[in-house]
Amino acid sequence: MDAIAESVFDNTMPHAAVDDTPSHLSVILETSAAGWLAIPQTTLKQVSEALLVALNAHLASNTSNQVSVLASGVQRSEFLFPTPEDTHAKHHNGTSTLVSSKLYSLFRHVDEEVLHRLDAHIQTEGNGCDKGTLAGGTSMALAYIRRCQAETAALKARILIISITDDSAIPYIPVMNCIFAAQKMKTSIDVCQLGPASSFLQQAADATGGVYMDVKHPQGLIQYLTTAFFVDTSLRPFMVLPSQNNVDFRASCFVTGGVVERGYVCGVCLCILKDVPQRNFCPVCGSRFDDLVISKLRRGPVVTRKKKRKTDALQTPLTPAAEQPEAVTDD
Amino acid sequence: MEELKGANGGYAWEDEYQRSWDIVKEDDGGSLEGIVTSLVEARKKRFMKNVTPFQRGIIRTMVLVVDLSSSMQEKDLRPNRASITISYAIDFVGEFFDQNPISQLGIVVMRSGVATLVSDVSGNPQSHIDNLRALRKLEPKGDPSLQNALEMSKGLLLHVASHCTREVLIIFGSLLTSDPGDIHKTILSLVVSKIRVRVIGLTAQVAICAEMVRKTNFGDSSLYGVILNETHYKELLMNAVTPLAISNQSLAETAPGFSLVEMGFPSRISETASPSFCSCHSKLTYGGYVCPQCLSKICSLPTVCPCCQLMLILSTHLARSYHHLFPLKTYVEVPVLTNYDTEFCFGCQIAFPAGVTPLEAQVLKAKEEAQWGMKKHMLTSSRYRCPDCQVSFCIDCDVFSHDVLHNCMGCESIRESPSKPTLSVNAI
Ligand SMILES: [Zn+2]
Ligand SMILES: [Zn+2]
Ligand SMILES: [Zn+2]
Ligand SMILES: [Zn+2]
Ligand SMILES: [Zn+2]
Repeated sequence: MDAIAESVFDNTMPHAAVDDTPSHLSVILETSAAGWLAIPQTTLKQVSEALLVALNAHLASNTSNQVSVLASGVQRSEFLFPTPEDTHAKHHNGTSTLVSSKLYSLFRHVDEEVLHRLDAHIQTEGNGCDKGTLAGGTSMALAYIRRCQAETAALKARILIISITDDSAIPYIPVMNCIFAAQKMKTSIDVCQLGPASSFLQQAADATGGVYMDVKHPQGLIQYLTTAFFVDTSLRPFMVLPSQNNVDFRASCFVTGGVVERGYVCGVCLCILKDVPQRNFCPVCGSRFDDLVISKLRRGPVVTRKKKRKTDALQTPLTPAAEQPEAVTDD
Repeated sequence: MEELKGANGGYAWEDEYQRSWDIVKEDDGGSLEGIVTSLVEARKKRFMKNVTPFQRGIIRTMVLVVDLSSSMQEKDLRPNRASITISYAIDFVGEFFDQNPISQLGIVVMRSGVATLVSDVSGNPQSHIDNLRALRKLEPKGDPSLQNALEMSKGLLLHVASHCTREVLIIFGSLLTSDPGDIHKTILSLVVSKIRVRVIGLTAQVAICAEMVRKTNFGDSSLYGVILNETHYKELLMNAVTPLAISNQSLAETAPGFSLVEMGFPSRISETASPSFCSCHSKLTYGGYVCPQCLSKICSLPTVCPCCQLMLILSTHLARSYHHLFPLKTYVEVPVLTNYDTEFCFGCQIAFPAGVTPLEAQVLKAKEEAQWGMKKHMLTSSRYRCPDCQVSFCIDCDVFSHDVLHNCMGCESIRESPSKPTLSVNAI
């Protein structure tokens, strides 16, 4: 009887055991001065306060939980917590603070370290280049998570990006590489977007099972951080989370930057082109295209399809009607 | 041939019976730690492949030929050759589509002198994996026929568009092939059809395989490997995941230029209220992707539109292949020094070992030599430096960056140095 009762219990509570596994939360805070200036409703100070509360809440929810915090500015990304010197100090003089509770000292330790480092980080930040270092910060977070998962078995991990910039500040290929690495590591990327919407970060959240939110009221950030972004990855299938139905997956032309629905892809460098290049060379990698293929593609949509449409309409009335309006707009 | 020889200069079956715990010896202090660390680093180093930027055939079509003749019952690989081959092939399929998302694969089995099509050429990894799993029930039997398998592969690859590569990967466990006709003629026809053959031998070199690989790869015989042990087997299979470099010779001989492919980038729709029929399975589904050319609904990507034959993908699928095109530079090992300028790995923040004075290094080297009887020294600085950003990483982060991430954390995180070679092709 016991055995049966136990198995029934297991079936109804499949996540009772999962809940005990420790979880790592890695937060990446963008610190670009221009980005923060563009958001008048809140300041970096208010956001870091809210962030510390969220970090402490994460640490409090399970004694084995871990956090790491990175700052990602226009010039450099670096760890705010933990830092090597810091882990050193902890090992050497243990708990030197006068706080009695061990957990509380941990809170304080994290808070002090993050604020101190963040301050130092902002002091050294200067004017940056056009592309920020968010991809680098995410890469470092993934590398640190990899190490933590090697050290602690069955450690779950997720990344939270507090973003204030749009796609123009994000280098495309590195951030895509981060998304694929996170997918492989089953680490979800949550994005708390305070600035203009970013399609790359939307894709990051979508591809890794994370939450993307455009925060309209940054004053209430703490509410967002401790509700929507606080849900553990294993519990997400059971919760109604803010979903993003219209992720912008559209491809853009590498040359004109325009949105491409039907385009051409270079067989060598896989760049996306809206039109067949005028000269028979790839504008990105310089490879020479096969003249035959090019002439076929050039001719394709203009001449043969018009002819085909007439004959098609005559011979096969079953041709999807949708093809015709599409073809007309195309010509 | 040199690379086929193992550490002891022979094949797995020539080796002394060897267990991993036999290799481990304690050092003077009775501690294993140092040796284990250096062993681990030595092993990881083997995964670091030399990367040189190449033009690669990114859009691939491959036929995987699996030997299921009686020789695959041999138990030199545990539990036996056939079952380990099927497990590895399943891993291979997963990895292949992960790295080559817009490519196609087919699977053929050689058994009882005939070639059987197990899984038709398609871009759906799950169906391949299911078909491979079903092979477990099949008992290895009879002789293999390379010619039959090659002819079938040729038939599968002939209709493939010119912008795709045509590749055959053969896992060959036997030492013979029983063919109905002249295999040399088949090989010549493969050369004419520009099909490139790669062979992984499980037993020993076979002359016909060597000839086949050499002739179909423009005289390059490096794509024929004979396994030394399980690890090497896996390594050879994983090598086949990386797209082949387009050799200059093949360029000159084949097309007068590269191909430009017409593709559609569908938009995703979400239908929460009422489902609609998809054109791929004719089933009622919620949401999917809409072909930009014919507006039919498709369940999953990448695929060829079932209505208008337009190749449909997402830009993210293309992005998955970009790391083949912009490979990360190999990190350089920092030589053993007395003092280092870095104490911690830039990526994972792990502490590096402290510097070693030349005298200490001498002592350590002598100790190693006495213990291992080796000329090669295991003593390392454990620091690996990116040639661009000059940032040091631990071996784990080095392997992680090159195998999983494909980004240099230093280059992406530090923007102040003037030499800034960003890989971005600035998509937007
Ligand atoms: Zn190109
Ligand atoms: Zn369907
Ligand atoms: Zn279509
Ligand atoms: Zn590291
Ligand atoms: Zn670098």
